[in-house]
Order: sequence, then structure tokens, then C-alpha cells
Amino acid sequence: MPSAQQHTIAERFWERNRKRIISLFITINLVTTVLWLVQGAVPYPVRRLTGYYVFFTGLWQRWPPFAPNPPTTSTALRGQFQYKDGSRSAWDFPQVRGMNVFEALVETRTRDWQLNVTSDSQLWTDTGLWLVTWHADKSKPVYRVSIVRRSMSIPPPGPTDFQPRIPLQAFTDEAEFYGLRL
Amino acid sequence: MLRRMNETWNSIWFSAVAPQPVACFRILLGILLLIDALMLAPNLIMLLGPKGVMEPRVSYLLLRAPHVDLLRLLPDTTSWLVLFYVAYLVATVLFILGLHTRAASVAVFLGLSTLQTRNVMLLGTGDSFLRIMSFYMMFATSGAELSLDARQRSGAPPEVPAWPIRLMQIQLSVVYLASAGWQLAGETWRSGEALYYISRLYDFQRFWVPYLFEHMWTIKLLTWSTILVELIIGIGLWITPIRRYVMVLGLCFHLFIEIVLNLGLLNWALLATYVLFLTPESIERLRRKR
Repeated sequence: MPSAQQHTIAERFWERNRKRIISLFITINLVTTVLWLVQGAVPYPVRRLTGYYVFFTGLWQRWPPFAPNPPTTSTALRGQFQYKDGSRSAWDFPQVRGMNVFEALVETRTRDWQLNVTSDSQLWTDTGLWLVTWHADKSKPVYRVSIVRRSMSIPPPGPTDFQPRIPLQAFTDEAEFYGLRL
Repeated sequence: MLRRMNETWNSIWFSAVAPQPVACFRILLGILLLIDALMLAPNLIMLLGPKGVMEPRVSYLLLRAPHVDLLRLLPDTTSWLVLFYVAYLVATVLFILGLHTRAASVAVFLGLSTLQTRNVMLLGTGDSFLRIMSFYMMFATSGAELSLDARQRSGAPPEVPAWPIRLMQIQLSVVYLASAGWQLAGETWRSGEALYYISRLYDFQRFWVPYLFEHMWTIKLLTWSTILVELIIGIGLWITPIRRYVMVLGLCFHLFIEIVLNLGLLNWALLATYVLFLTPESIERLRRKR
């Protein structure tokens, strides 16, 4: 327990330096936010130092969702299983296309995860093992699991002013980007 | 000169302001955080569980920096994750009600940060904004009005420090200005084709607007207007005589986006922050109108 005198000293210190401390805090927050947003233009040591601060305080950010350029493909993931007896099965991650507004809102995170996961190979093994645990046929031993990226490209705009709506159709491309033999 | 700068700095950051706007914002932010957390519930184990689609250690590797994660202090099991999640929901409800508001705001930030850093690959821009606002709300005196804490106090509500509110207001402007900046750096935004692609992304699409999304001239107009509107809101919110018009513009802008695209809670989170720019009188007028 701090003594009454210590308590007074701390209080007095805070009273005397309150504005300075808060001003420093404000300045650090503003400067790190700006440096984080223009991180491509700042030297690596500054970027690293800024990173430590923004990740610790939760101030890391990137705006907006469709910049500098929006994606030109719709993407979804599928897990495919090959069993030791030669049979196969597949499981699709939830897709927001075709869902009602409420369902789609609930699955927003799953959608964002599917859009991000293909870009980082560190995630694939966990996903593969998760697929085997939860979505493979448990009555048969799995020989191999793979993750397939299914996509549909949006064609560039045509030469005329009228641009028709692209009908909702099946994915046109499929590419396996990860496979794991168990 | 230095004295004048000091005075200006003090008047911007160290003045005392009415407690109603930040109290109102606390409730709106709390409701959004609650909805956000409830939306996570059906996929909690899949997305954040110890044997989920991505183990937390991978998320830590991706961040490569110290961060808040209280779950690391607990056994890495599904039961503890669920218990933590429920505790976070309770903290959010206390935050909305304004009961032990300061402690609740700290618990909300720590809980939200922990859940978000557990799987960084599923975060969208709305998540970032909610997290940043939760961080600043720890420093704001948000329970002085419209709260259970305030009911225990007698007399007129005290004025509250302005600086955490200013930081949140600035953050809101940063979102708009940074968005416009990033968009200007993109080829499709400059050429006016960005909305052609965005409107045809089935993963984001909500409602199709027949004429607007079918003609190149309207698509280009909407694409360039988006950047212009973002610049106007980012700057105009600070200009008192035009603020109310800028807010109405922002309201229309976000409602339109909300109708046509699914961006999670981003639009509502940005709109909720507008209340920090309202005066107590305008909040009172809105309450009376209701």
C-alpha cells in the first residue's frame, strides 16, 4: 500500500504534468497513425517501430475495402478428400452468394477469410487438417486432402455504354492450391 | 507565437465538452459491438477455436509484433474460448448500459482485441474501425450521461474532457481521406471503372440497382462521386456552417452503400461516429422529434 505522502506526490506529479503526458499521448497516436497509413514511404526501422505501437494498441488500419483496385474475380473455397479405398468427397465453405441479407451478414467473416486465405501459405496446413477433422467421412481413413480455389472472372466492360448484369452462374475456374497426404 | 500555439492546442484538446454526444456514441458503439459479436457466434469454434481453420500461433506469426491477447493466458481449449466469448458479451452489455462504464470499456477493448488477433485473416475494415474506437473509448468519460452510473449521481451532468473525442473525430476523418487517397492511387478508380467490378462481385452484392449499374456513364459518375464525397465528408465535418449538410450527405452515401453492398458493419460504425460531431442541443432536438 502506498503511504499517504507517496500518494500525494503521485497526485501532485499527475496534476503538474497531466497536460504534458496527454499531449505526448495524442502526438504519438496521431503520428503513428499517419506513419502507418503511408508506411510504403517511410524507412523500415520507422515502419517496424510504428508497427510495434499500432499492433499493441490496436490502431492498425487499412482503408478502404476496394482500393487501390477492386478484385475482378468472385472466389470460393472447396475442400476435397481422397480416401484410402479410392473414393472421393468434397465440402464447400459457406458462400454468401444466394443467401438472404441476414445469412450473408453472419457469413461475412467466412467470406473475408476465404478471400484472404489463398494469399498466405502459412494458413493452408491448418485449414487442411481442420477440413479432415470436421468434414471428411469419418467412417473411412483419408489418404489426401486438398483445397481448391473456385473462381469466376468478371469480364472487363464492353465498348458500348450499356453493360448488362452478369447472371449468377457456376464458377468457371477451379485450381487446387494446396494438397496434404496424411 | 509559441504562446498562441499553446493556447490553440489547449483549446482544441483540453477544453471540457458536453457529455451527451460521447454517451450517445457509447450506446451506439456498444450495440454494434454486440451485433458484431453475435454474428461471430455460429462460426466461433470454426474461425477462432484451438483446432479451427487457423491455429492462433499462425495469426501471431502474421502479426509479428506484440499485441493484446488475453486468451494466451488461459488454457488453449474450446471451453475457455467460449467462456471468454461470453465474458466479452457481458462486458459489452455493461458498456451499453453504462454500468461501471470505465472498467467495462477497458474489458470491451481487451476482449475485442483478443478475439480479433486470434484470426487476423477474417478481419474487414469495419473490424478495424470498431477496434480503434474501442481503444479511444477507454480514455473517454462516456458514462457521465445516459448510463446507470449517471443515475447514481445527483445534480447536473459534469462536462467531460474533449481530447479522446477529438481523437475519435480525427480518426473518422482519416478513414474518409485515406480511402480517397488509396482510391486515387488505383487505375480502375481513376478510369471510373471501379464500381463496374464492385457491383458485379457476387460475394459482396446485396441489391442490384438496374439503371445505375448498367450504364458506363452512371458507373463512372458514381465511381468518381465516391472519391469526391469522401473528400467532402473528411474535410466538411470540421466546418461548422456546413456540417449538417455534410452529415446528411454522409448518411445518404452510407445508406446507398449499405443497400447495394455487404461490407459488414462498416457503414453503421462510421455513421454512429457522426454523433460525436453533434451538439447536445441537436441530440435533444432529435430525441424530442422521436
